[in-house]
Amino acid sequence: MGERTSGLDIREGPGTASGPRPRVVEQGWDLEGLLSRHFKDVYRIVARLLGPGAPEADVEDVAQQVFLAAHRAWPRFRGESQVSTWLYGIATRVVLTQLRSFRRQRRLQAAVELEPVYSEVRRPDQRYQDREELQRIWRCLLKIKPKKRVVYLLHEIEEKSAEEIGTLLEIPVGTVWTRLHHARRELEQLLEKSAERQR
Amino acid sequence: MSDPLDQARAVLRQAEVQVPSLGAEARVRARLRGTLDRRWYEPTWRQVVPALVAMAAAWVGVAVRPGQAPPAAIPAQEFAERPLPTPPRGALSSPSKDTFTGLRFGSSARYVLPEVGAARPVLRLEWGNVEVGLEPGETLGIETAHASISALASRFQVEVTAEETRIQVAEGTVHVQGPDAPEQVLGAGQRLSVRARQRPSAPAAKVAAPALEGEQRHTLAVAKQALAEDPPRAAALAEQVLGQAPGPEIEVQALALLADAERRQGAHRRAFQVYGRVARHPGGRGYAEEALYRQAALATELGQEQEALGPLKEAENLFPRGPLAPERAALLSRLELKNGHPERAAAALLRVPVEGRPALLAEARLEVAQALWSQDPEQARSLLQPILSDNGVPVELLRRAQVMLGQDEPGAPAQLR
Repeated sequence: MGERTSGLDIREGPGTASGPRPRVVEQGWDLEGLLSRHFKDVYRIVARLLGPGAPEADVEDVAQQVFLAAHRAWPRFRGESQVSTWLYGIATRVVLTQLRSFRRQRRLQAAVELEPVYSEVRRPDQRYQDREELQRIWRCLLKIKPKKRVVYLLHEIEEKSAEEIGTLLEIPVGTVWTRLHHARRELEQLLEKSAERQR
Repeated sequence: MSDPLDQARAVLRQAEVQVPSLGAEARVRARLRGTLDRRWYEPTWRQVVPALVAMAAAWVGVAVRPGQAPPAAIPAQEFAERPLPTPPRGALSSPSKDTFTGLRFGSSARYVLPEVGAARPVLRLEWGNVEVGLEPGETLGIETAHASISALASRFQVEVTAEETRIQVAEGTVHVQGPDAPEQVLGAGQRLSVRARQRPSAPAAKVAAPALEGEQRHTLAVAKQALAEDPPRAAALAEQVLGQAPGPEIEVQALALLADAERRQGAHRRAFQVYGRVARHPGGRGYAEEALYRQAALATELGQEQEALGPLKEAENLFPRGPLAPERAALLSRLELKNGHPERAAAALLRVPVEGRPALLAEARLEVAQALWSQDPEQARSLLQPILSDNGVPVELLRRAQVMLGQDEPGAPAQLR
């Protein structure tokens, strides 16, 4: 599996407890610096996990929640991993919490139906059929429970390993595999049903 | 792993990820700064004690009132989706700009919810602030110590203190009745402060878009949300906006929504007509190409191929290199083929200036080449050649093209059917 640029690079791995702590930890909490360095990456992962139909206001709202959660968690951050990795974990957990909101879920489902149909600014390489296919896949994905969906997206799209996902979501590796297995199976069934309906 | 999952993964990986718009970081920074400055997430004892007292008072006040539900009965997800901090006195914070509907109470709010199923729901707000987002057709009354507020399909915020009730309207229209004063009507961007036994102060100057336009945008936002699950409702809301003589920008959005809603309801003829209005609308340039394509596709579904040709040709003239050129060419080639004009079908495919949609175009090319083989094999070959050099063509279609090019006798294509 080829490596992809995630922006928040988890491959750097944790440092050692005895090793020097990252300079940023010694400097203490710096919201402005953290936002400047990591806002785009946090926004990207939030948008990726919420799906293509997520309204900008929702993505911004969740990104804000991520930085707020980071602010609260900062005293407990021991510098054993990169700040980017730590933020990535917070972002995935915050998204997961947000996705449990029925109202937000319903909004996303409605938005995925809408967004690709009429976009006033179209990129020349954005094909109508491609967008319909993406819409169809996300329609199926949004029927899967968020906890499974997030694992699926992290593994299949963000190309994180099960161990990495376990660390990010703070769940055992076995649970990651179980959720991934169920997500794949459910998605496959949903896609097949959806393809049958289209025929 | 099975095929659909592989395909899904490929599509998901290729999909563009939303990037932050200009100003997104600044907006989040400002909101975060405001939140952190208020320190609502780490309250001090000075903040906690009055809040606890207020909560206890609210509990007692509600519990002793017969026939009214205690706060414990509030479905947390429904009514307290995101507790807002009480803004500092004298500075009512702006209602949020999203399409939120429902009620959001500030953390120190004391209130009695409307009775379930009440014909005219009335919220009793005793203290603190509430943000209200009403869907079109929804009404709500709010009673405070200083004022009676009634609203229909609007978004606004109310804050009650010991001295006064402050109302700020984001969208729609809100009626405010003070204790001994005539009713005031507030529009979008207006705010009002009502004190006990005092005439309401004059509404502040408008600072936002006119009230009607705000309400129309709100209605359209709700219609968009309804489109997937309830197309008739989306259509009704879009028509409601169209009936209010909106400006060109809102009008074309409403028309586009109406067309989509009609199509999703299966009202193809009506959808065809509305897409036509979208395509010809002075502000519809951003929608025209897709609207014309939709018209053609709908006419084809209705079995009126001749009617489909017009929009396709118009779109080709207006958007020769538009993103839907491949879809258009494929549809046009099928229509020409059905009308018995394989040479015109071939010309339509050879005219496609933008490559893309390889599978769709390859299928159309194969179909036309097959029909054209007996009368113009050279033209048929030129149609098939691009399939061989396009990496995106599925293997099955590639193989069919190879076979056709390898057996160029007139009878060959029939074997491939």
